[in-house]
Amino acid sequence: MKFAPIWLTLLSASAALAEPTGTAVEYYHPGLRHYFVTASEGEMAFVESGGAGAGWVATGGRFGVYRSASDAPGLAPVCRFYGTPGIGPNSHFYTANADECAFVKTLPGWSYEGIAFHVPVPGAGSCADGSTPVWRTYNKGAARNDSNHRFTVDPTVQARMVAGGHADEGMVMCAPLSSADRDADGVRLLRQATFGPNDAELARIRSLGAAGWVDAQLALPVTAYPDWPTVPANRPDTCVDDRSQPVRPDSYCARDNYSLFPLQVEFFRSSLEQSDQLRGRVAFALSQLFVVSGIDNARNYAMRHYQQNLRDRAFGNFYDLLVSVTLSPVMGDYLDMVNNNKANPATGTNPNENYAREILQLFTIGLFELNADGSLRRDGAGKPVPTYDLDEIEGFARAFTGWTYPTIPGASARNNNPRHYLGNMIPVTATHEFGTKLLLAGVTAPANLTPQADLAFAHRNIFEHPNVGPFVGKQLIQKLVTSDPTPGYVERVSRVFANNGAGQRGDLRAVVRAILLDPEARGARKIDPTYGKLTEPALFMTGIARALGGRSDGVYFRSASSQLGQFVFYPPSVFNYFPPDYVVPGTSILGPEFGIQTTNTAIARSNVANSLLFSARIAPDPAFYGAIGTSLDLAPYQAVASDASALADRLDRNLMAGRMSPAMKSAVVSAVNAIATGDSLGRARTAAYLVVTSPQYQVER
Amino acid sequence: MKTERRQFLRRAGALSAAGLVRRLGAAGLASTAGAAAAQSVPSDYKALVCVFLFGGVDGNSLLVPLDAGGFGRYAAVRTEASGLQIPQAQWLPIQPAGSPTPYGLHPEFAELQPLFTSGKLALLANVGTLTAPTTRANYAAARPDSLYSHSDQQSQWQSAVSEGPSRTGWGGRLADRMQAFNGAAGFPVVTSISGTNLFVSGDSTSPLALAASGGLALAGFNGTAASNARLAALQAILSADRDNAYVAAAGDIGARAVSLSGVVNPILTSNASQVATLFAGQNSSVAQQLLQVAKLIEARAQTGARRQVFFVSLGGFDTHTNELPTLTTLIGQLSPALRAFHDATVMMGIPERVTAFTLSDFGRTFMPASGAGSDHAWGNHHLILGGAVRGGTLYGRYPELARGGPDDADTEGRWIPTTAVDQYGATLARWFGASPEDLAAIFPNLGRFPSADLGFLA
Repeated sequence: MKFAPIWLTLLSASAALAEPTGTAVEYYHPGLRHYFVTASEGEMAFVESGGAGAGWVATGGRFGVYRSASDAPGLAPVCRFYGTPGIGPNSHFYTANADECAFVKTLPGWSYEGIAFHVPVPGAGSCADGSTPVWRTYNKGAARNDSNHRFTVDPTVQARMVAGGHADEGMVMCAPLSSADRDADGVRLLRQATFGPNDAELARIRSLGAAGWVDAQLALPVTAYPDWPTVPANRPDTCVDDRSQPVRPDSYCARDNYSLFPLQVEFFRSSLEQSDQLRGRVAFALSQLFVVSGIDNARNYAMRHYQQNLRDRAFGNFYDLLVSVTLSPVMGDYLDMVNNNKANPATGTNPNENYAREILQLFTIGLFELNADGSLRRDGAGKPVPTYDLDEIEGFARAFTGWTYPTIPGASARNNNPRHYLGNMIPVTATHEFGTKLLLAGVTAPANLTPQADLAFAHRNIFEHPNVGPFVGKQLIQKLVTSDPTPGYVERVSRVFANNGAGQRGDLRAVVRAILLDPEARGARKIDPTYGKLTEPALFMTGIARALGGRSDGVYFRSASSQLGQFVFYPPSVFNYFPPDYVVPGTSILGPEFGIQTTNTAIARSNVANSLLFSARIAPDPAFYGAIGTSLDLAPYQAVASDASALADRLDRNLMAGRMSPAMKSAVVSAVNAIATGDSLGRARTAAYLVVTSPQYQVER
Repeated sequence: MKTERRQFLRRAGALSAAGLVRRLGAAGLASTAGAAAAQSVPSDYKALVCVFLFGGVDGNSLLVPLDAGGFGRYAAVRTEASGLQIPQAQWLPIQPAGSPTPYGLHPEFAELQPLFTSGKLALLANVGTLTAPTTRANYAAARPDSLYSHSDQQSQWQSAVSEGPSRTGWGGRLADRMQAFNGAAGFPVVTSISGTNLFVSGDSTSPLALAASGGLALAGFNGTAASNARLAALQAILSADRDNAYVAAAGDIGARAVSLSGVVNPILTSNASQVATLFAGQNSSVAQQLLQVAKLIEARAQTGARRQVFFVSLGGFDTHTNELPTLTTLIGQLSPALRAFHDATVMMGIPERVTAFTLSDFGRTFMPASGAGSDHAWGNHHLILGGAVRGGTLYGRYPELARGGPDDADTEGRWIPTTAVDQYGATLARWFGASPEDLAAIFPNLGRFPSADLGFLA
């Protein structure tokens, strides 16, 4: 599949086409296994009333069309055919190609039914700005006289149909995007790339286009966490929490230096306000790939540097990022690479295998060799091929010997320095293993390399492994866009990881851009039933706050994140809050966030919504200096609250990217109408509560 | 898969419909404890309580031989200089029935040592993930997938499948087959106090998951007409849209949560628990989790459950460094918590109906690692506790403590298990009521091993 030339032009900002004047709607018959699309409202009513026989159901697939040739310049008429009764298939066929139309007219098996609607057509393999490709797949049914075609604007659907055996007939028309379609794509982009959509960012996307907005985000300067002071590794007895009021900036010495409270609070506060939203999102994703945890190291200044490094390098090169993570004393402490000494015959100890194992399994390549599309490579017997065995683990464990904490200023350097987290770990020749080491792909590191050279050699060996692109790329897709991406999507992203277009491997800026501007991320309504992801808890909360005018010091969100199973910067283990390969129970699809979605956390989400929406303000914490509490502003929704339908529509557009179903809207409207018309606040709260507690909102797609 | 999901939904839906009328009456979501308390205590009750020790507990620090030869072999590798030796005098001595060798339990097991002596606690030596009986000679050919990887070995302990992926765990599959005991639309067999995971996932059942403390209730509903309308809308929305698998899955979990909250919240928030005092002073998470379990067992008349599988956990066992202080803390939490839980079953008069047991990712290398810790290994020793346990005995075969010896897969003391997870689980499941047909389905590779019943349960 070669999408690249299409989306580059598709996504650039420009004046939109004229609004579509009609909509084509798709139906499916599971008995016939046929798809049928029509832009005729009369025909839709006929099909939906059973006129075409029982069993036809709307798939949710739809795309814009023009009813008249004069609705926009340069339109092509779309010929419609029906299988000639008694001769051809029981199926309809559409084409916007004049030659194809003329040809099909000559076939006795097909009867020409006239011009169904008008559309722009692809030029040079792409659709003009403001329109989206319509893909066609074919069921290869001619031999059994059962030909049927599917027309879709959802490239994920197209990919899945082809994977399921349909022939890929490529891009056959262009469908104009309505302003509602474009806003929906904008809101979807903001859910993928920020801590939540709001009016200001949506306006920027309208003005810049998706690609322009992403590029603008990639160019923004880095937001910095405050540079909290460096403190001794162990809390001095004098550093305690003074609970007397009024609170001073330094009242809570223990909490603010020896727990991650300040960092957690600042994470939430800045997520609502920082302009470099995309960097913040990618850094948060990276923090769940390169996992360290406050459970093991709650020195706030130390974790600040670790998390800031992820922000700083979020759009840099993966090799540099990986080395910086390895050399962080926070990671060194967490996975035991710090003070990892060469084998000691006197004590009978071996180099520690922990970091060797997890850098390979979790951070870079995984357990089995992968194809570029993320699927498992298999050997001749059909078995997956392990990427390494114990010998390689021991090789990396030995390569990673000879590093200690940075020396505390004023102290004398030792082979095994005591804990100190300012700056990188430092090499120690005396504790380094100088022999050869077996690494990946049969490569052996030569003997007598310095600790630095050994480290660089080992990281280069990992970085060049072909798994890194699909392994890391797929996880970033899962974190930003969709939980179970198609192989084609993973492959397109891993190709960009392998080469950013300028010959550079591992360019995360290009990778992030490719993920967000891929046709499976952008474009018209996504209807594939396995598309999307459950919003993770931290982003569930920031999304509510950003969409509903939230102001917060972050204190409430910090504590609530614990109730929701994602206490930020305190993942329970190096396996993060949830694993990337978690399968939604009762299905066979990946759904990482479902690894912490339980009866308990589901209720907790609703109760967070209740706390946020049904109080004027969550009170400032008197133990937090400068506290403002947490509040929302529902005024824009109160303004339309007398009309329950308009209220629901506004929430649908701004929060749900237009995915509120008629059934859900009906439920929202009836609950709102159980409240007096004059109680605009009660009505707005009720509608917003029902939206943010709904799975339809919590699953972004 | 789709059929299974629908089947699951029907059950969840039936439960929801049954409970809805009571809960949505004038009292809103208020307690139904009064009505439920009138029900009788189920006869033929049984509970299994899985205590998962996340990270891979070092069995070599849980149980060692105390005779001169055995302890000498321990101390020769776990040298004093390595920082990984527990001195001989600190081990808590036990004398397993039928064993010529005295053994020692980790020093923090003070609360459990007497239960071994009184026959309520059994130990199972060198059990682990296996695809078939395995020796040092055929290890390379027969070993499980992705040995020594936390996530994979957790999955294999939880699924009892060591070749290829599994979508369900043995706790969940056991629940699938035992759900009828609780009525077709009855209380879930599985309750996790530690989130969701493979162990608790079945084909047709899914777990109730609860927090380590507190209840399960939707906040903000007060029984007014507007509140009731909002609650009805919330419920309608949870089941409104099925066009996307994630929406459907999240909706199912939410609907189930709302439905079950009406039953469990009154239990967990009640002050009436008699057993809570047994946990007084224990603030550890594992103690809190076991208290939640004890409360639900205590209230079995209200839940109507006759078969329950509970999942609780304790993490932090990945002791690559600093192992001994870490174990002192963690075993120091585990031991009194399990003792309080066992005492609770005694107080309830049903110790022989409740069996608790430990699982963990894997054992750890006998050879110390740099930093006074140990690395990922394989076979491990586990605890089984309860009134039905034939305790005071060491089951399985304790490995020969020799690097590169007959039980070592490698040269660093990674014990090749001599008993399979499948056998361990099947012994528990048979006691729980699984038939031979059930066992064959729940443990698909059980037939590869010589015995389906290790004999540690009456």
